[in-house]
Amino acid sequence: MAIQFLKTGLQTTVQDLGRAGSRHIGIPQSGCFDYVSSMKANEILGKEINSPVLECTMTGPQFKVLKDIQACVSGARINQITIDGVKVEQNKVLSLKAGNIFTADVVQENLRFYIAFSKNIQATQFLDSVSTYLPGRLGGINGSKIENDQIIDFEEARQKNSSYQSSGKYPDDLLTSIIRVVKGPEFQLLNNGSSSLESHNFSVSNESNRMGIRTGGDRFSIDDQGLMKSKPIYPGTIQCSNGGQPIIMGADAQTLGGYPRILQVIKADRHLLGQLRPNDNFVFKLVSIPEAIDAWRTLKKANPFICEL
Amino acid sequence: MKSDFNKKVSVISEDILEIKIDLENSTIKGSELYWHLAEHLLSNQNDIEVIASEEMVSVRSKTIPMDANGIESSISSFDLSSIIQVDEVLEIPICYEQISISDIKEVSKQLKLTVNEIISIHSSAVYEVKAIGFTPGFSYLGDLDERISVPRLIKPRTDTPVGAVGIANNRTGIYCLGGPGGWPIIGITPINYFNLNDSHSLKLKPGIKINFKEIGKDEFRSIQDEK
Repeated sequence: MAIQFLKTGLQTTVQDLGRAGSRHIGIPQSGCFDYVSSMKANEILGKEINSPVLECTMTGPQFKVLKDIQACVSGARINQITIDGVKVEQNKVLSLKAGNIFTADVVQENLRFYIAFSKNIQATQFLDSVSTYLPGRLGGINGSKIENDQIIDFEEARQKNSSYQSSGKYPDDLLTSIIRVVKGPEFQLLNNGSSSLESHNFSVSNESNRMGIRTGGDRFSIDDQGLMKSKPIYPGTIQCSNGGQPIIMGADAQTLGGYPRILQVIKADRHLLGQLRPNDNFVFKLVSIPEAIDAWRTLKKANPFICEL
Repeated sequence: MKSDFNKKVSVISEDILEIKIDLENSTIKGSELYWHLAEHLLSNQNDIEVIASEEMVSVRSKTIPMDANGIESSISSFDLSSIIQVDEVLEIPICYEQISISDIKEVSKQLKLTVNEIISIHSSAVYEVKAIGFTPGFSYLGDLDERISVPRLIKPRTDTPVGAVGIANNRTGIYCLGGPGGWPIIGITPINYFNLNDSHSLKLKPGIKINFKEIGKDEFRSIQDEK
């Protein structure tokens, strides 16, 4: 036994880097939505980058430590994290002792943060991943979010030397006001093409979840009869309903979608989608494919621990 | 010997490309061809994931920049004649009697057809598996008779039971793992066609033909009990 939840937070699930590779049979990738932040938490602890973590949304959990363990919190900036009421920091190794009460309260900005541990969370393995896929009740702890009084067990994990060098600046670079995109396969259905793309202002709808981010605010003018056959989609694919409202596919995105795929979020910005919080405002910025490749290289240079996924 | 075909490869993003094949002089349907091409690519290329739809194969590379040349040459080594066409029709038992979440009465009102007419039309056709996807193992079957064509639900369900059979536009489909779904449900099959522990044992895949055989509640339960 290792930790017992006293409060669950809004939606706390076990995630790793997901199960990419089974999309042809309809299995979504899942995994940490902001995987750069989760990788950072594991890296700081000297853990394998793919180790299971807790993904916390909006409000964090409170748990009682039943056995000594180390932890690290990365991602959205949290109002306050405490151990037995004493404030502690994000992106630092935290030593938790048996009997301690760990509390992470509400996020100040962005949406998701990650708690990594020095040992591995025990959870249900499915297709080489313990990531929780809530709609299909797969992986994680009984395929669902953490519940009150839940106890999470840990197993021994291989440690490696941490190579993480903090840049010393805070907050982390989780700027979500500009989401960079390339043209999607059905881009030509947009009536104004790229001319007015960047002048559209969007907000994040409350109906967003890990499957998709629905938007409010401006609408695109789109020429679509709604009769398209379902087409392949991925996390970061932006579909546009016939009403003109873009939907950005998330970590748990389905594999086929029936709306025109007008844009595709570039790989360097996909993890940021996990940090878009309801009512946040953002715009799309159209870039070229070479620019998208450069952006990924830049992200990897700034965060050398990132693995391809 | 490799079959000749014209392919069109479109690069979508730094890690995604799509492949379409000219099927004009082919007896093979797109849905079947793309499924087999997707499996071929998966077994030939590392670090990719694929999605086959009725009209294309999409490839996403986990590494950047992606190895577009490697993928192109994998496509070239794909042998169309390796596709074995099956004429057998798989019979799928279906119970149309009121299950907890059935929409068949609403569909009946919408279409101005009796429930029995809907059942008779739905169970008399032979369908082909057109695509696998959307949610885990979901199979798109077509074509649905236009007399029972209805739109998707206005408000999708968050939880559809395993085995539920839905209809929407010119497709009918089986929810193999449950999960969210926007199609009106008219019946349920007691058989699980999706073995999650073995993705190669998919019983339903593009190219396979099926028909629905109506069963009653008692038979539904006895098939379920056998498992």
